[in-house]
Amino acid sequence: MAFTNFFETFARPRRAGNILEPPPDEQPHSGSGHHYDPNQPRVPAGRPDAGQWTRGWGGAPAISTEDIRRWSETFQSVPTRNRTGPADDFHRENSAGEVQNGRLSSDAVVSDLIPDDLWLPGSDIAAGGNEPNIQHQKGVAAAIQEYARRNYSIFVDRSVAVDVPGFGEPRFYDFIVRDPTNGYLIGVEVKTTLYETIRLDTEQVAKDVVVMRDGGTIRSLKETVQGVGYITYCVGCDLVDTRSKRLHWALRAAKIPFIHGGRPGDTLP
Amino acid sequence: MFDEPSLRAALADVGYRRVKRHLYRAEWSTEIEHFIEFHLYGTPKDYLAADFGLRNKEAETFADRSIKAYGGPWTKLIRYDEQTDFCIRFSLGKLAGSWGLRSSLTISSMPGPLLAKKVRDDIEQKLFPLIRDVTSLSRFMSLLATDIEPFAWLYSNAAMRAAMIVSVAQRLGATPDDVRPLFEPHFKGIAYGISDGRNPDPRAYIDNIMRDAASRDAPNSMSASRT
Repeated sequence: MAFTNFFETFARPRRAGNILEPPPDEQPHSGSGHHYDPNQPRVPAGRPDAGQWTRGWGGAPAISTEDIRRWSETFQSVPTRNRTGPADDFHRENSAGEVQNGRLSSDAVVSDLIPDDLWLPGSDIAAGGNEPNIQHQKGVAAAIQEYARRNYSIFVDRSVAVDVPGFGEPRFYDFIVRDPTNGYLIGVEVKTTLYETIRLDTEQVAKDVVVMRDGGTIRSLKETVQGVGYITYCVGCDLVDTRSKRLHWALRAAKIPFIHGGRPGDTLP
Repeated sequence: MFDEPSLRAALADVGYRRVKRHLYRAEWSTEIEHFIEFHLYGTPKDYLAADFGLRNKEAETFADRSIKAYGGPWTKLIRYDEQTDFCIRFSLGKLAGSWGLRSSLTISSMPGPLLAKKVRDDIEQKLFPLIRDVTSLSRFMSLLATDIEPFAWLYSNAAMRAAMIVSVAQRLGATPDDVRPLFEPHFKGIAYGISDGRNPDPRAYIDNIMRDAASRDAPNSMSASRT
């Protein structure tokens, strides 16, 4: 990595076992003030920034190989993410949202990452209570895996607030992914139901259309979201019944992809 | 039901004090402030996610001004609260590795005190070995510059992170030439951060913010001297 070379080139040796921290007497802002140091490094004359950035302990900000090693060892449990693989056209090829024989078209989306026992058909009706919440959580997890499998980077895997121009309240997306081809962040809405209608929300759709047109901002991370995607999981639905038709067409007009699935791990047709 | 009093007490054990609803700041913060922020979601709100974050207020403010000065029109949408916002943040649940789907704990699955204990234990055992000693500008600089999990640039606005590095490095006495190589692997991400990916110029952005840091002028007053 570049910063490794940077460290090897610039960082000065430090005390054993603590190569990052400068000694207390070298701290740039410790003590009672700055004193003239004849050894203090200077930017060579002739450069536009000559004479600048020479306070303190000089040299360069130490990028500690020790810290990097320690952090790496401590965080062994996290698998390396494939950040360079080519994106497929998961989002783009579905953006037309064509309807074919009553179903929304999509490419075949089959994930082997979600075991079948994550999904309990019928439980949302039979159990009531918190079951729809649980099934939705599983549906979102399956959708996240689907995007990850297709080399989209998972930027935020939880519900996240996105400020949308013209709206006082934020739009909450189920998760955010980054398209590795163009770098766009995409807010994904997951709808789950059993033998029921996929019901769209008027205010959500209105915000989605604005996000597609003007973008929105993730409140906590100061990043812009420039795309929206829907994934539905509807067990037992032969045909997609999306209400209202007016809202569905609004999504289509904004070229918001609408991917329909049966249960987490597969999509129709 | 979310048992916030238990969580608040457990966090106090490890040195975090409540700042506002769901936001806690480490009492042991120095010029590098440490935060934990919780997020409740679901219908009903049965899932608890958490971010841990770090902030040097001067660097964060510089980054906010930088991206608003040189970023795309969408940056005008950014809401920034100098008291409580921090954008160098990562998922605590993901770091812990045992929080369940979407790096979240299910509130109804365990008693409140047990949930609070788990959060506290994960902070102590998983988070502290990584960040507890990041209390100086130099260590913060290392953390910002590194691109390994859990601090990968992937999860940050790279343009803001670059601006923070410039701000911190300048105070540590680095020269622009020392710092510039750090950004080369991240030009793509920086471009995403300052624009919409269509017309980015990360090198010009870096030059601009380095000049701003050196002159200590507010970036948003230097639009006339953009590169």
